[in-house]
Amino acid sequence: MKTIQNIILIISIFSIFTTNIAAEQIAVQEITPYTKQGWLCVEIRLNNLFSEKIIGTIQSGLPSIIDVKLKLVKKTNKTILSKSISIEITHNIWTETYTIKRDHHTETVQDFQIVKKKCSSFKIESVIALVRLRQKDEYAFSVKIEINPISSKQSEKIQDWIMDSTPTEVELTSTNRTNVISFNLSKLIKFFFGKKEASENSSKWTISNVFKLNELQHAAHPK
Amino acid sequence: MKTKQLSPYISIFSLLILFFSSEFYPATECIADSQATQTQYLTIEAIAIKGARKTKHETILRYLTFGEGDMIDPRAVEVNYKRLVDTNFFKRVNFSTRPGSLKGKVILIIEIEDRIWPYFEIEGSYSEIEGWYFSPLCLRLDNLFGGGRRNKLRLLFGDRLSGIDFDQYAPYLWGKNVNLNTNLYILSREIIHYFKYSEFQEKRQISQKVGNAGFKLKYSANRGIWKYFSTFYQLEAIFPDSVFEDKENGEKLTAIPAIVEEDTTRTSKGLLGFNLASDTRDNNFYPTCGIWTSFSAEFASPKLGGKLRFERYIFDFRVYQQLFGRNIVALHLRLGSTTASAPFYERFYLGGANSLRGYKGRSLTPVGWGTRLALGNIEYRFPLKHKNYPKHWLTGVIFYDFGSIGHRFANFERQDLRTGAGLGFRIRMPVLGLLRMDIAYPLETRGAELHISIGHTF
Repeated sequence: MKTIQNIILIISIFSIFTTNIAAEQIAVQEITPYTKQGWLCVEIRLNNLFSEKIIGTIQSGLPSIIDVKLKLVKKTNKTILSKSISIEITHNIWTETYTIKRDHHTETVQDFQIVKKKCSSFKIESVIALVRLRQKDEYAFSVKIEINPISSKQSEKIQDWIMDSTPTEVELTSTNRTNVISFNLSKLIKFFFGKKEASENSSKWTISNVFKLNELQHAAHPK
Repeated sequence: MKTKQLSPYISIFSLLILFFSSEFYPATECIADSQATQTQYLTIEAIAIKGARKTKHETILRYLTFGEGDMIDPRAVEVNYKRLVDTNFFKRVNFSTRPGSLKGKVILIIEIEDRIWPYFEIEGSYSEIEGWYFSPLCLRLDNLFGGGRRNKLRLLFGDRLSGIDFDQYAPYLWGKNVNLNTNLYILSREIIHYFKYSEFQEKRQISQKVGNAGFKLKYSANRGIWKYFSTFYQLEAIFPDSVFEDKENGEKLTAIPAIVEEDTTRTSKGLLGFNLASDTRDNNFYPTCGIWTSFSAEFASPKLGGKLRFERYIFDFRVYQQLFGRNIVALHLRLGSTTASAPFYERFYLGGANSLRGYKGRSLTPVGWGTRLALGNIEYRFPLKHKNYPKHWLTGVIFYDFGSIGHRFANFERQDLRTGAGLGFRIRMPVLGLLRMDIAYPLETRGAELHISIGHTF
């Protein structure tokens, strides 16, 4: 009986730790679509964007990059639009200021709390022109966030390692030299069929509530 | 001038090329790095490696281009991240930093997750001798004990090649700056000869099977002047078939030229080789400047364990130079010499996709194959699409090839020189890397040849 109690206690403690780890993962808290001057826009709110590792990298003077992947889907799951934006955060260790770069816009602030606030809640305007959408159709936004320390090339992209295959020149048993191509088959199989493990640097794909354009426009301009 | 008298001059010439190539084209200065962004000067105070349960820390540090005290910026991190990922030793690699003890100093943190299980690769290639061949399931057992050793076992299937091959590469052997490469193989090759027989007026493709089984040990260094130098020992049993078959009509030949027939007995080869090589190219997928050069001298002797006795010298030189814009001119020169006692399968051929492109593969090879080879290729390369340059997807090429093959350099005459010219495309593709298509015209005769292969010609 005592052994069983100990086992249950160990499992409970383990569950608490795993729950805590899961709680630290980046989460998309809220996705709010709205319209503005003939364009569909979206406001995104995030939780747990900055882990200790990311804060350490920024404080040391090297940048961190937030990659926002946004999709507009119809109710039938057909993707109408895919868009991605990058937000780069850099800390100048000498002037002790933080720079937030997004598209061609740069903002400099003194306090890291302001950086956290600005990057955890932001708007993406001009996603798509309203004239390209139907008023009565149902749409939803799907969002995924990834934050990488130092370089966004640290996130695994299938096109990188498929397109980066370069023939290697080798000697043969004959007097020839020739180019040999090699391709990691296990990696490809795992990418398509393997279990997708959650990463501490990225959120899952999160889908907003379904919305209709005429409802959004009515909410923006109530009679 | 005999081969033995010529060899010291070739050696001195090669050393001079190696020295000057390193001096004039230091690899890091070829392309101005327009992508590097450095807004503040940061240096590495220490490197912390986390998560390495199998791989030794010194193995990981070996692949980095920076260390404690060196400058760090996002570009350098990208380069080193790719170097670690490309080893395929790890399931996950992540670089991050935290502030060091002083402003401007950082602690670099490398988090890794070891790959535990072996993995599979698909491999493939093409050459004029072996034809197209591939290994559908090449088993990789890399980094088994964390020391960075690479083990590869593959079954080969191809047009004119089949067999099994095991290769091990052990870098920094015993913690020293030396590497050992071990290769064991059992192969069967179909060699194609070109000669006339019976009532045929034109040369015919005559096939003969040759089996090879053996091993090769190659020893090389990592630092100092010794990194240009490697040596190898090869012991091989050779089983040439005495059956010769016309590839086109399947007829089995009864009368074979004596120069070919004398090499149809079973034999063995014990060979000691020395190689000097240098590579200062800026990159190997689209080199825009630099020199690649190699000189090898091989000696087979009964004293080394085999029955054959011959010497072979091969000099290979390539230079790349950027002209205006992104246009490149590239030059390749290959000289080969072997003694008359070398059997045909240890001699040289001429003609084909990696040789003289205006001619069919090996079609310029004399009966019994050549003991003297001179080959040159000049290419003018220009990107047709500039996106992602130098990893752009389409390159155009205009080329000119020239070459000669025979049995004596002293007997070389102008009419022995063969030339060809043409144009081609290099297409960057997923998985294959670089697909090559060349259309070439021989300048001494009529006709045209279309060649499809992998990678650059040189």
